[in-house]
Amino acid sequence: MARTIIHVDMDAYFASIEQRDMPIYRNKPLLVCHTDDLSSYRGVVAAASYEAREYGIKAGTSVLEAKLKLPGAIYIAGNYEKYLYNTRRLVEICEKYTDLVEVYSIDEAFLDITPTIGLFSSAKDAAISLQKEVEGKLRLTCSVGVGPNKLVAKMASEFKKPSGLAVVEPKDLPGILAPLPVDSIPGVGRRMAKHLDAIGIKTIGHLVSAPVEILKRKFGVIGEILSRAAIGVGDSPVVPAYKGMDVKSFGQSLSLGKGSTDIGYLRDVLLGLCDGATRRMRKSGYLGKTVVIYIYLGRLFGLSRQTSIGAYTDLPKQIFDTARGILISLLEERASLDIYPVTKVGVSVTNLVKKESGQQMSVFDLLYEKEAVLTSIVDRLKNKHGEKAITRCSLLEIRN
Amino acid sequence: MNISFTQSELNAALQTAQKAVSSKSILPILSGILLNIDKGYIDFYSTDLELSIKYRMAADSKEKDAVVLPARLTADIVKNLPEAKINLDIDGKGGSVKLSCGLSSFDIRTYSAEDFPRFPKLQSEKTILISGKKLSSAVKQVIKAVSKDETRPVLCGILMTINKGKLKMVTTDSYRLAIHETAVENNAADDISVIIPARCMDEVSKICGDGDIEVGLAKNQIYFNLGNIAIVSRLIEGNFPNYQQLLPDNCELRVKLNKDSLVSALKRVSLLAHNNALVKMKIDETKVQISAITADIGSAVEDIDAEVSGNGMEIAFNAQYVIDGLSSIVEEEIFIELNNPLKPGIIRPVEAQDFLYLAMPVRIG
Repeated sequence: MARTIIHVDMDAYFASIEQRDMPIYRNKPLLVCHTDDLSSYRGVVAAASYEAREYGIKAGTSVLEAKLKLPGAIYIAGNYEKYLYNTRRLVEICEKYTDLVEVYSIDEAFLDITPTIGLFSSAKDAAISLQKEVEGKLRLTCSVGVGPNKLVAKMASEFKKPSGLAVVEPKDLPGILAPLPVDSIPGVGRRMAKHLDAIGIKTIGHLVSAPVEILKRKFGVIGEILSRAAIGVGDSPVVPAYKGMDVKSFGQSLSLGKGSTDIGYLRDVLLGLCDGATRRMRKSGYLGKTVVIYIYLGRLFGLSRQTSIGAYTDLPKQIFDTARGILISLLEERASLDIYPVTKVGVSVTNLVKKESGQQMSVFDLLYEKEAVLTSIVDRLKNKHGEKAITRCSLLEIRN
Repeated sequence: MNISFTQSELNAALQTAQKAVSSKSILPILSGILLNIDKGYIDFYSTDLELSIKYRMAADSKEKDAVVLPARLTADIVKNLPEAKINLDIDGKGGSVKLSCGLSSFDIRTYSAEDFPRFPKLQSEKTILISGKKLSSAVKQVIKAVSKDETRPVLCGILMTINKGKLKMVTTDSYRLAIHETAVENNAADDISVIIPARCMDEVSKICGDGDIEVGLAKNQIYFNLGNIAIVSRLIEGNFPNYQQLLPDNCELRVKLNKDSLVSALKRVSLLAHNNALVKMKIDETKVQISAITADIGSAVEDIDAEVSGNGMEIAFNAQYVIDGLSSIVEEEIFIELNNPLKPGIIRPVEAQDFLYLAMPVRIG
């Protein structure tokens, strides 16, 4: 079924909030900085008002560079609690349009309005009304993109910033996307763009005509995702953070900052995640049978794969043995790793049953009997002395 | 060219070769059977790329030709023909064959023989002789415990080991485990331990007869020479669960029972079991009480006389798993050996030492 996805992207979010709250900041170059000392040159710009952007300063610019370019601008430290409060208000507004709202980052959200589109005269109407409501209630501007999937919606919201609104119909996709530079695809950064440029791919149109086999050989699994992205195909779902829903999975993930290409380290991280996820399963009394591993390469490319364990379990080792196999098979796509290190690893156990009487036991319950005993002792220690009371030696480095 | 068969010999060849034809293959050519006529023989070849079968018969022609017939259709036609002479007229260009028998005549489109995968040539590293009788009775006893869950390929096979003159076959779907052990003359240089797809062993056991069969092993393939039939299968890679670890050293409670009375009782009582599965067994000094209950439907209970040594216990099983184990046993009298309600139950014949069946319990209480 065709989907309708809206992407809301707040314009110069932190700076706009400060300008709204402090009239003296309005119409002036304002830089919200991520730094411990505003009088120093350390840190980076977290958000730049549109007045400052005219001087080439944007989020990510170092404070040093900004101060050299624009010594007269207003430099302030960020007040993240205030921004989060505004984000929560934004989500409340979005949730009036659909219950499928995914908070993508502090200043962005995806809305899947497929189920509710009948309530509006068109997707565009829904987008306009949402944009007006945000402006009216938050007194902040936002750019809104509408598309058949998250990827296109996100690209569309970039078309006319600030206060832009763009609706991309599937039939218009090729014409709209083809002339755009490759780095307008979310997740394609400077480095990827350089690699593509080296093989003569500058625009999305070029990317469409490049044979997928070549892209796959050069970039591994990312090549395939790129190729699909170029024609505006993306099927990742809008994942809302539901409250009070039935337990369907137990998962845990870890962001790795700048990322890692060290398989040994990633494996240890995964073991820690399996420990965490299964600990929660045991606390809630669930057993699971399917293990899902997902990794992020770079900022946006997510890969996931799943395998069935064959028997229900809540033991970390049993989950980890399977998870490790999946991780290694995902990482075998070394070609992608060279360009993008792994920035996030996650594990999730699904296909759950409640651990209760009437459960058929399996021979693996016996094969892992020692681990079951050990795990229950570790659980008891943690229950009594706290989660940090005991850990695996191999995880000490990660925990620190 | 023109060749002729009797209905029964062609039917036998097609029925055998058809066993390796996959119904869900992506490659159309694999839905066919290759007929290769050469040097006075007709060889029927079929493969699903995992299992390959070759069936040889003498030909009345010295010519050379090859054609791929659609397996299912041809086999169905031949099966429905009367016992009479069948003529196969192969069109030299390979486009179709004409099959005639008495007053019936069929024109069947064929595939090109050149596209058919070659029959695997095996460089046997080891060759052993196994009695067909022993092999087929072993397979029959263990095959019920093979897993159907293809996400764990190792459990979809039969572990065959030969060690110190003993042939062992082991299967498990993780809820039960079956072991058959029998003495053989091991003429291979060293020990053997391979996991063979259950489907291959099933076919071999049905075809092999009582005489000795030659089994060849290569790196990842196994070969069975059954006279005019050759079967080659890929071996399953991976580690079979360490089943030795599952077998308890001793037992707290041993129950001697009549197999048939237990099977019939289980069948009756399990009709009242939730999802026809969970039955409880309550064992005291002189009897085993089997019971089942389903909310809103009803309950059932039945007592069976038994010789019991050890303290009483209550344990629950999936009735079907127990029935499968019992019906794999030929003898009348059986032992059920238990340790505690969360440990497996062992079922074995009282006299014979060649079979052991382990059923994992269902958690209760």
